[in-house]
Order: sequence, then C-alpha cells, then structure tokens
Amino acid sequence: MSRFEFYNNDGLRIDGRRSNELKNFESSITTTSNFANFSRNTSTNTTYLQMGQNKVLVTINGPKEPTNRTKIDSNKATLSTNINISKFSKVNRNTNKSNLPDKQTLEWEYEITQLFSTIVVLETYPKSTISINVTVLQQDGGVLSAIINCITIALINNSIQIYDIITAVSIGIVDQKHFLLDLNHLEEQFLSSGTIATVGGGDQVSLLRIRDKFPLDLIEEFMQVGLQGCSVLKEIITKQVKDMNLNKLVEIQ
Amino acid sequence: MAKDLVITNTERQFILDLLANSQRLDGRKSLLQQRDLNINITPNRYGDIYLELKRDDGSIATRLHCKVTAEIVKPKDQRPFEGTFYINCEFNGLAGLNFENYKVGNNSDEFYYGRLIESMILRSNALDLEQLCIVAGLKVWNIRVDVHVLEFDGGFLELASIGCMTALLHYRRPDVTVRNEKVTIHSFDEKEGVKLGVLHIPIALQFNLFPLKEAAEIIKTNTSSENNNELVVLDCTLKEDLLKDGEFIIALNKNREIVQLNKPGGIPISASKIVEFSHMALPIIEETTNKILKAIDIDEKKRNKYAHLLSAENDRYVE
Repeated sequence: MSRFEFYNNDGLRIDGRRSNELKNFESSITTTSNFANFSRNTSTNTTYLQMGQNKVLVTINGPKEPTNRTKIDSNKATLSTNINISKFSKVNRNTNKSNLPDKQTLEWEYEITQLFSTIVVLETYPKSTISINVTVLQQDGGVLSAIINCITIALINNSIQIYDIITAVSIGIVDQKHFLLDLNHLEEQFLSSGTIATVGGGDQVSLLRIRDKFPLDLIEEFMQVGLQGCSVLKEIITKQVKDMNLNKLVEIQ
Repeated sequence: MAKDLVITNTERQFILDLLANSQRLDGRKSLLQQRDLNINITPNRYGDIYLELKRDDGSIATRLHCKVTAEIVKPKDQRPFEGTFYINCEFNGLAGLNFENYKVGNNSDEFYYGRLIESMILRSNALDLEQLCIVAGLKVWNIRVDVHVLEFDGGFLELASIGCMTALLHYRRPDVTVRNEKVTIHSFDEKEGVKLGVLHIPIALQFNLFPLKEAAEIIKTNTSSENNNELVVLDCTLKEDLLKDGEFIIALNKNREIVQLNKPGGIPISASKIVEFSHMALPIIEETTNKILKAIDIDEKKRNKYAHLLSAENDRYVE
C-alpha cells in the first residue's frame, strides 16, 4: 500500500471529507458576468462547472446544419464530442509535444458520445448535428464525472431536449472495505477506482467504467455507494439549474 | 464495425423478433449460448495462435490470428526499468468484403476494443513488464501482439482477449546474457527461450443489450427494476452486433478479480442486473481459462516428446 492514510480511524479522508461526502459543486450558465448580453442559442453560451478542484467548460454548438453532407441522418441528429484537456491542467505540465489528444481522451469521447446519444432526444432534430466541446482547465480526480455532469447542465441550459438528467460520480475503495465517493487526485492515483453514471438519480446505470483491479464480491456495494452519490448529485444539479434560470429571468427583466 | 453493411428493416425486425423468442439466426437455442471455441497453436513456432469460433453446423464463423513478436528497444524515459507492450488489432480486407483496407478513425468500436484489451493486460499487470528489462534505461524488450481478423462473424472482443493471452502464455523470447554491458542474444538453437511473465489471465466477455421497449420508455420507468426492459445476448453474430443498442463488457480472471468493467453508454440497465451479469460471467471465464491452459499443455507435451531422453537430470527421491 502507499504511504498515505486515505481513510483514518475517525472516518476522515486526506482532504477532511467523510467517506460519502461529495466535493463542493458549483456551476454557472455563462462565463461572462454581464447577463444583459446574454442571448440564447449562441455559441458564446458556455457552461462552467467547478467540482472540487475540477474546472470544466462546456460549449454546445447546435443543433445546426452539418458541414459534412455525408453525416446527415434524415431521421435524427448526430452527436459529436470533442474533449480538450489543457496541458496546464495537472500538477505537472503535460510535456507531450503533439497537440493530438491522447488515447484516454479519445476513449472518453467515444464513451460520452455513446452515453448522450441515448439521453438526448435526437429525433427532435433531424438532419442536424449537435457538437459538444469540452475544455478541462484543471483536474483533480474524477474528471470524467465532472465532464459528464457539466455536459448535462450545458444541455439543459442550451434548451436541448433530454429525457432525464445524467449524473456521474467517481468511487474508490480503501483496504477492500471502505468506499470513498468523489475522489481527489491523490486518491485516484493510488486506489482502485471507477466512474458510474446513472439516469435521473434512479438505479438505472448508463455508464460504468472500472479500469483497475477490483474484487468481484464487492461490486454490489460499489454500485450502492455510486447510486447514492448520483441521486444526491441529481438533487444538487436540479436545484442549481433552477436557481440559475431564476437569476437569468430576473436579470433579463 | 463494418461500415457498408446495411440491414434492411424487414431483416432487422426478423432478427429482433427471433431474439425476443430466444432464438438465434445461426441456430443456437438460447441467448446465452456461445459458439464452440477452437484454439490452434502453430507447431514449431512460439506465440503463433489461430482461434476459431464454430457454428453449430461446423462451419467457421470467426477466425483470428494472434502473433507475438519481440524486439529490443530503448525504454521510455519515465520508466527505465520496464519493457514495453503494444497491441495492434486491425480489421482489413481479409475479414470480409464489407471491411475497408484503410485505417479507420479513432472514434470507432475497433479502436475502443483494442484499447480495452491493451489496458486490460497493462493496467492489471497481467504481463510483468519488469522482467523484460535487459539494461536499465538502455535496452528493454518490446513485446508486440498483432491481431488479424481472417474471417468475421461477431465475437471479436472475446476472441481477441483469449488470443492475446494464449499467445503471451505460449511465447518464448530469446535468452539474453549481459556481460560488461555487452548484450548477447542467444538463438533458440543455443539456449531454450524464456517464457514471458504472465501473472494472471484476464478474459473479456461482452454482454450485448437489445431493448424490448423504446429508449424513452426505459428511461422514464426509472424504478421498476423487476421489469424486463432488455434482452441480454452473449456472443453476437455480425448482424446482431450491428443491431445492438448497448453493451456491457467485463474482464475477469480466475481469482475473482474484476480487471475491467465497462458500460460505454447505450441503454441504461439497472444496477442489480450488472451485479448479476458480473457473477454470471465468472464460470464462463473459468471454463475459457481452463481451455487455454489445456491447449498450451497439450502443445507443450507435443513439443517435448523426447525431453525425458535428452535430459541429463538424475531421478531424485523426494521425501
């Protein structure tokens, strides 16, 4: 095991949280402070999410006419995701010279596209594309979950029809018995961890990703902790989206 | 995976109706029945494996070739004590008329599956990379597995993971001696090859999901976990593979450890089902692992037919 004590006898983690405590979660509809300039359905409509020290920006472009004629689907819209993880987002600067995304980012793009293709009501927007552009400014463990949460909020704010809210959370396991919710970067580095995303805070799992060795008999508990975290997160997101939209209304009037 | 293959609406409906009655297009009786797996190891060579999936009538559905090669390279700067490992899996014109020869984009299924197998082996330390170091910081072995699809009718992920693990278990690299920083590579005539350090055998299994209702309905009926919203099918054929609406991939080893657990989007399924599937996968994977070990054992015996005659070892009595 590593030299860190991830979960001490008092039930506290490295950063002083309890095992099932989420990081603070703050989102805002637009990055410009001037709400008077706010206009809907422009690509300047950027959603910002801060989940602990994860800072994620999402811009949603569309639904618009596809630039490439061959991509047109006459029945429904096509979805595309582009994730840009900035080189300064980690503690150590990424020294990779090329500007091409690394393999993990490509995997995330694939998974996120698959995930949101079933959640967005694509039939409403035939012959068009919706492109999701993600920029990660700072990462602190569980970036994938932060990206998914931010895209959900961005879709709502861009008035794109979705069936339900998707929430995602990362989970780690200490000493084969304690489950930690919403990891920070130290925990993510040293523990076996996974990400889970559910639809509408219920028990319907829509994305699951465990890439580390993990005991099979603990999978049930893992899911329970994940589902709980997701349902809490759903309440938070719903509340924040409502508040944001109220603020927006007030500003416009 | 295949781009040009288009399934007509009537055929689509037909296949889905068959599945709803738990029947398959190729004559299998149940949704969870897998096709017969054949592992052929090429004699006189190390790490050269042909895998076959056979239909019930004996014809070959999918054929895969896995080949391990090793070469000496300079290690990565961050990890001077570790060898490197790379998997190259490709579909090309060999696999069938509907596969193109040029390289497909990064957003495709096959890229994703290839990555999955690579990280399945690397992240779980199934292959001990530290054994591959010759001179720290200067010379390490680079192990490369080439996976070629020769005939394709579904079941790529399982076969590729089985093939890679069999090939790695079977492969022997040339022995190396280091004296005064001078490296000598011994050919197989001089010295017996050295086996790679395979610490455990992870095998992937793919559960394919077919919705019984509209996606919207499944999402709306949130808490009804006892309702059957989807069909689960093992070992899809190519046509079923194109019609599926979600998948669930699990890689396990015999020691009851999950190595990979992936559900990339698709229709949502309830958490209890995922737990159920994970436990269901274990006996299947145990069976496959035994099959691999048996195939390698048989090959070993064939190879060393005269070993007992050539050995200079005395009989020893163990108390």
